[in-house]
Amino acid sequence: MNDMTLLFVILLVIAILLRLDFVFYLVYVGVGTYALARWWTARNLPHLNVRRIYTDHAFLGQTVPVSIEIENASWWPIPWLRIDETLSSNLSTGSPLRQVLSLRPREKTSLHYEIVGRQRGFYDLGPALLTTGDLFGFAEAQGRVARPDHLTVYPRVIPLAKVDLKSRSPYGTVKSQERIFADPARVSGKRDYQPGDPLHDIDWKSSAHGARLQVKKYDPAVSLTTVIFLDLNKPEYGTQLSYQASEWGIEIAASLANYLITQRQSVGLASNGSDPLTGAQQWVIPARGGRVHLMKLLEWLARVQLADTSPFSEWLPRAAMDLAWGTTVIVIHPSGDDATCRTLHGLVRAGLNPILIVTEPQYQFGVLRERARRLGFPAHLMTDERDLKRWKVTR
Amino acid sequence: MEDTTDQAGNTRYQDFLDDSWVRSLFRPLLISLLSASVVAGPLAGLRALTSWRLGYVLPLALLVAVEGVYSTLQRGRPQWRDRRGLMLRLAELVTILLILRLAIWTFSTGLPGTDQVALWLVHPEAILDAQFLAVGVLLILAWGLAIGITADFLELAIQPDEFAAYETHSWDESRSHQRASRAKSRLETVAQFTWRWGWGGGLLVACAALSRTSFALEGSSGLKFAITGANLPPDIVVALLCYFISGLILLSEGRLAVLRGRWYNQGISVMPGVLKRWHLSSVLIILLVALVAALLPLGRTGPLATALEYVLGLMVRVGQVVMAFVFFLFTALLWPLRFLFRSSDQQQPAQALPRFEMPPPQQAVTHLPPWLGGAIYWTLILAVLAYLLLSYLNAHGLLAGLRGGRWLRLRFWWSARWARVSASARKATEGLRKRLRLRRPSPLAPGGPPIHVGSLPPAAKIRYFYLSTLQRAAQRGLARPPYKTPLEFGQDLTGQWPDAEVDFKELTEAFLAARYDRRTIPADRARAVQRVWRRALRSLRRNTGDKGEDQARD
Repeated sequence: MNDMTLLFVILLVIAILLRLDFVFYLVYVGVGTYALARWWTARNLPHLNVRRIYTDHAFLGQTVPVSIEIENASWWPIPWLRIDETLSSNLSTGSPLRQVLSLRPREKTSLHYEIVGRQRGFYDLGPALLTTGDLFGFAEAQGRVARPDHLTVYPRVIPLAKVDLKSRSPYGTVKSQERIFADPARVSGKRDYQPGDPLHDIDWKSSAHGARLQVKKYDPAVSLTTVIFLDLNKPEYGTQLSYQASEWGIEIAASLANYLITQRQSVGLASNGSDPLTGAQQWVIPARGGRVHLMKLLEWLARVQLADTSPFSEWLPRAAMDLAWGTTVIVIHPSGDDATCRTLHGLVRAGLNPILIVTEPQYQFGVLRERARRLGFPAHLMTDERDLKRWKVTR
Repeated sequence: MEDTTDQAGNTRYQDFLDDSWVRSLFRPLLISLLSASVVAGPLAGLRALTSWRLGYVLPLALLVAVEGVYSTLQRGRPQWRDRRGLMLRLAELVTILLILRLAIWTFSTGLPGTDQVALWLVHPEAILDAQFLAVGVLLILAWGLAIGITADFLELAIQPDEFAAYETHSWDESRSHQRASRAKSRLETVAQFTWRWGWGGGLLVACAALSRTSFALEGSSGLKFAITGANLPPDIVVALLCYFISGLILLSEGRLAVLRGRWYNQGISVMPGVLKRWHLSSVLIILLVALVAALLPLGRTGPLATALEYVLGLMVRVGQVVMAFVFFLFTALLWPLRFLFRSSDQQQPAQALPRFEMPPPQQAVTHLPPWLGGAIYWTLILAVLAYLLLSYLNAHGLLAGLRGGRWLRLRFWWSARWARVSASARKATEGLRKRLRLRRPSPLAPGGPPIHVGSLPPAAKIRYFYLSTLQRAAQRGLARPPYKTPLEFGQDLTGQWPDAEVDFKELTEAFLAARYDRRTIPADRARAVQRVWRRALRSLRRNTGDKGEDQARD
């Protein structure tokens, strides 16, 4: 363009020297076109409104349609606009969206593409790189969509039929094998009255009908208020299996949370992993019930990342300090090392009900299980989906 | 893009043609306008310098430019591969010049009379008058420019190798513009066009403007410098306007080509509206700017122009002062030198040399009619012109049907005659070459080329001594039979001239060493053999008395 500038200067000098109106006119046209092209190009991008329309949460494997709505808010047309959308390879369905379009004044248009959540996570959509320019090659401008867009892909949830979880909390909704936790709301039958039976257990209608005193029989029930503790401190994972084991631990946590919420229990979640959205390195979500709470738990599980944070055995006692007596504490740990076992023993002594789930393969897991049993809590080795599905009530 | 799949569904890359780019009418029209407008500047100069009637030049330039654009577009098509030779271009050029000649007769000078035809018959060069030459150069300029720009814009289209690279997935999915290499990038092509258009336009304007200007000094102080200029004729103004406007739109087209190629090679999908609106948008913008520019006050009356005039005047004055000072310094430096040349100034002027009158050249006496040479010349010229014209018409498919069949037969007839003449000429050349090769003399033959013995290497010297001795012996009646070895023939020599037995023996041994021994022979050895050779020749001469020749050779 230096040549063009020099040419215009020379033409201007010729025009002034020769006093030719026509040459002045040519200079005006040339300079005017040049100036208009630069001014026009510079104002294109600031007058663009670009937004993505999509569902920002998706389950694993779900296809999400994305629309990019582009509006030219200016009264000047945009001759060409190139959009290069960047996507994570975990979401891409092929070649990314790369489109060139033109916009009339005040025109709004939409571009469509689809993404697939192939891996749980918290993904950035974009940034979409925008390039525009004039019609003559005098100017070109680049920009990107300022507003960040994200997509949360939930972790895989493995449906569980019946899991062997024990609780010390009475008056829950889960049927228990412990007769001491009989639930008056769960009438299982009637029997003849025996001396010593509470009077409020007498079923007067049946007694009147049979002319003998009948007493209601109750099913035992416990409350499985559970908090899942997930260890995502990277140094505690093996070097080779850290990614697989941590992802598997997250899937176990999501599956257990789903199971417990389905059983109308309260579930909490705590982890020492990193949350990229909030930046939290250690976090606890108090136990609650309901589908909405489940989605919240799944969203945190979708975002959480393996990170160098505080050791699990140091963080767990502090995180479990406020838990109510009898709360079931499910600890998902890669190895179940000595420090963790000692910490879980401390929880047992504090009246909690810890359960250890080990996610990395262990050669001598029998030793660990025996040790855990002696320390007062069960330990389970779950290195894959089959192990998780086998974890059923056997009695 | 043109459908390039055959019946089997395979893609034929070699037949690919970027149809949407090549078939556009808008771009050829712009190129034709631009190329024709180029002649406007020189045309203004011609009008200022001559009194020719040149109203036909601009329309004719447009016609020529359209022809150049059309033929270049046609030659870019895959099915025109066999018609891309220089002959077709030559035919086009001849056609253009013929049309120009007719146009000059029709619109400017009038049809030639019989006197003029008789003059051309005797002096064929008289047909090339100044107007024909000047306008011919302008038309060729417009034609060449049209061809060049059209070829550049054809290069900007999507090329078959790019299409092949795009369609072939064997190079992985990563589509990069580097997959199909180009000798010159589209950006460079457009930059080259921009440079040519810009600076060509500057020259054009300067040329047109200077043809209408005269220099003058203004103001009582002489500080204001200006050149007075008259307005240009309307057709020149329109042509210049066409040049710049069409150039700007072509610049926009070039930009589109660059982006289009980049998007294609990077696999970016382009909405159809982009390409559809491009041409209209660029035209509208330029028209808008042109309209606004027309409403602006013209610069020569504005304060900027006045200020610039004063600045230029000041610069001219400063330049004059600087030049005067330099001239003064130069004169002061040369001042002492005038004393050196004072004596020479006082010398008598040299007497004028007597003038010799050149005798008038003798008139060649010939019995041939004066028009014969011109007639032969014009016959040949007309034949060549007819051939080129028919070639041109045939290439463009204008000789189809019955006439086409005759033309084809004529071509075959001519090809057969030409092949026969070529074969005869080749045979004669071969025969002549063979005869010349047979007659080539031996270096030692009497009529052969002279040999400078002193410049030969030692081994060659010795061989020369021996062979010349044999030659002399043969002249004396003892020729060496082919079946005898040098040693055997040495005995014969000894038998004939027993006095020189030692010399013949030594010469023979030296020859055998020089001929068959791979060791390098020193220069001293050659000199020693040369003495032996002289003695041997002397011995041979004793019986003949041929002394003078040997002395001359020594």
